[in-house]
Amino acid sequence: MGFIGDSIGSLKSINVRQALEQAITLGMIVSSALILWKFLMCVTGSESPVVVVLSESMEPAFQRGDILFLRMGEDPIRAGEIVVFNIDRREIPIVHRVIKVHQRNDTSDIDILTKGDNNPTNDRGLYAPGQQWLQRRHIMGRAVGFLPYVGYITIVMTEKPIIKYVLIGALGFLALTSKD
Amino acid sequence: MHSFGYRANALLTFSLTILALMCAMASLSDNLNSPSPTASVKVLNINRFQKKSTGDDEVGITLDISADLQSLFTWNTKQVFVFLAAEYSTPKNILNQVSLWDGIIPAQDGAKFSIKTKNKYRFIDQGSNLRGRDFNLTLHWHVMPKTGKMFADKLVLPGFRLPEFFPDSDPSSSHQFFVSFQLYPSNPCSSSSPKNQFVLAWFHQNSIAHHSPILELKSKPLFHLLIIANRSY
Repeated sequence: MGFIGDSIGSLKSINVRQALEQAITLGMIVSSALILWKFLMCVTGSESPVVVVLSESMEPAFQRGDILFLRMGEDPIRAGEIVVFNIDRREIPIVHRVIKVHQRNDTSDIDILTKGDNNPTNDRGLYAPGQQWLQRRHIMGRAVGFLPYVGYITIVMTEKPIIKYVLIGALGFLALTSKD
Repeated sequence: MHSFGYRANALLTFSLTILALMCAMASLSDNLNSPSPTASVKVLNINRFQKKSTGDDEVGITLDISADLQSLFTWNTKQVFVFLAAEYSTPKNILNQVSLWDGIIPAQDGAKFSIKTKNKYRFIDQGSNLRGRDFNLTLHWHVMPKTGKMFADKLVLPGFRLPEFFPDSDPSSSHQFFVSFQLYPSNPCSSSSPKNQFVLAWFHQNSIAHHSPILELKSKPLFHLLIIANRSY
């Protein structure tokens, strides 16, 4: 019978008390992940502290599937920094480098122009129609750390949703059938 | 206890922990490196000055950049991104940073370089403040690790100044140029020429002071047309 037989056997032997225990364990895992995420948001000051690179526009610095750690911070944004920004009415945020900064004298308003290292021109074509500059409110965070390849699994899962369901199913099955 | 799943899980957890630890150590080891980069930048020429239709000033310059960034490289360095920015303040803006040139250095061999280049990105001000403007040229570098924390630093080279007047574009002519057409009777000195023929003389003036007729004719013009046009960029 082996592994599969054992699993079916343990599925049969589930009683109410055990099922409740399993549910609580699952809830603990989910909520601790949520706690960790919210904690990171507080520490970094960025609404999404970890992002996965989706495009080739920053190669060779960042490739598809690399993970970036973001921080917001109070310091004003300066040229050269890699920022993640969100354009109004555009769903996916963009990771690009700042090439121009104009900071006002009287107010703290700041005008920012970005460009992808691997792109031939600046990002004005990506901004909203008629938009010349990014302001502070568009910036979600600036990249401070880098981890290669790790995010590739999320790209695979978004492009092939079937893998996502198989993975979730397998994890759920394992969680239900594990004895300890 | 010793099921296949349990062992696979233990192996995966252990290997991921080791991998994470090694990444953290590689990133931390970057702190042991204390780099001492050097750089020098010269402005070889101011090529042009323009006022854009939006009223913003633009200049084109030729730069001579030489730097030695070899000490920035460690075993955890993937690349160094280096760029030169003009930094200045204007009455409206406390800080303007305009990137003029950048480059990606993938390996230590290329980290000692010297190039002469025109500005790669347009040097456009937010407004009309570039005449006689003092500015710094700052060489920034961003060290991209193979994994872990990114580093950035800069070298400020102060004491550059854009000229008050640009030879190619005097204030009186940078916005407008004058063309005047004048109609003369054809060769007034010779009686043999047929009547009712005229010569069109064409004058081009870059400024009012320099009046440069294409044709030199010594009779009074019959007709004079002056066109003042805005130079379009």
